[in-house]
Amino acid sequence: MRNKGQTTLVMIVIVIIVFSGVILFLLSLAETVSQEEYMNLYAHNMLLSVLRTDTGYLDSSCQTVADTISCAFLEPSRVCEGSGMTCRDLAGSLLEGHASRLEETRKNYLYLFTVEPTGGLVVRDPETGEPMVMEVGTLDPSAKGDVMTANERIVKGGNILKVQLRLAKR
Amino acid sequence: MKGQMGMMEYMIMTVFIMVVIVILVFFFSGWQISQVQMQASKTRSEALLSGMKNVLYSPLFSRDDSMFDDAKLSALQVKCDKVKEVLGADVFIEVKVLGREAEIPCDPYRYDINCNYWSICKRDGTHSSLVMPVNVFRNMGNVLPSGVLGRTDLATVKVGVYDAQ
Repeated sequence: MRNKGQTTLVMIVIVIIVFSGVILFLLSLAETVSQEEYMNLYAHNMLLSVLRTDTGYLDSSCQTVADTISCAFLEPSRVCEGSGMTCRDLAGSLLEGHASRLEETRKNYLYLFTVEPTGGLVVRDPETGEPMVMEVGTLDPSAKGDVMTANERIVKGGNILKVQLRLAKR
Repeated sequence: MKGQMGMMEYMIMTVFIMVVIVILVFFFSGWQISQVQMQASKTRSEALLSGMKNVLYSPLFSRDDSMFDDAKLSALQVKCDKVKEVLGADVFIEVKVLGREAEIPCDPYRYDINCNYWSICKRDGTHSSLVMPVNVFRNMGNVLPSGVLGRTDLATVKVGVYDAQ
């Protein structure tokens, strides 16, 4: 009888501790919401801002970063007037350059830009013959977990390119 | 003897429960204090995020979402009261065009395409801030013999709130 009473008391104490732990866990989850919202806004703004940035070249096929990316897929060997580089090389170097400038302001983020044709469009890599996908960044493409994703589309002459930015904390 | 043993067991049990209750009270008090501090920090973060969204999407600063107009930014450097009406008294904004090491502040009264830094309502003081990638539209980005073209530059905006004094 006495043993039963003691067991009940110990059970009550354990239930109180577990209950407190659950409350703490739930409340700690709520704290991360505004940080996630900021990172989400950051990812979308980073992608949009980089795509809209002017390259400094007046050639209409590579006036902005978005123009250069579409040129890289639709006319990969075309040389961007004034740059001496093909659209494909220029697009990769622009994405990398702009992202590394932004990285200076937020050193704790890893990023990965991925560009691929969509809507039935298939572009083959002239060197390998494989379907062309452009990947630029410091984040491992197979990274999972706390990764924020932003998507945009570049529409040019009826062709659609899907541009994705994945952002993760270092 | 058996009665004494029983009493001892009850006393040990009572002490054990008292210790657990005291630990829980201390734990919850400490946690409550940290919660109040975290709540204050969360409220500040939300205010900052809300201020950032207002800046990104307000036509007062921009010509499109997240695209600031350099002429508007220059003019607002001497119209801090106007900005305070929209964003609140303790807010400041800094915009920096990326790509150049040297920081060249923009003159509110003279257009300069080479300047790369705007500061609105900035003063000394402790503050919290958020940084966001944006574009700045330079109205006279490319001056050609055929005319003047705009140019979109990559920049960052910092929106901050000064701590209450």
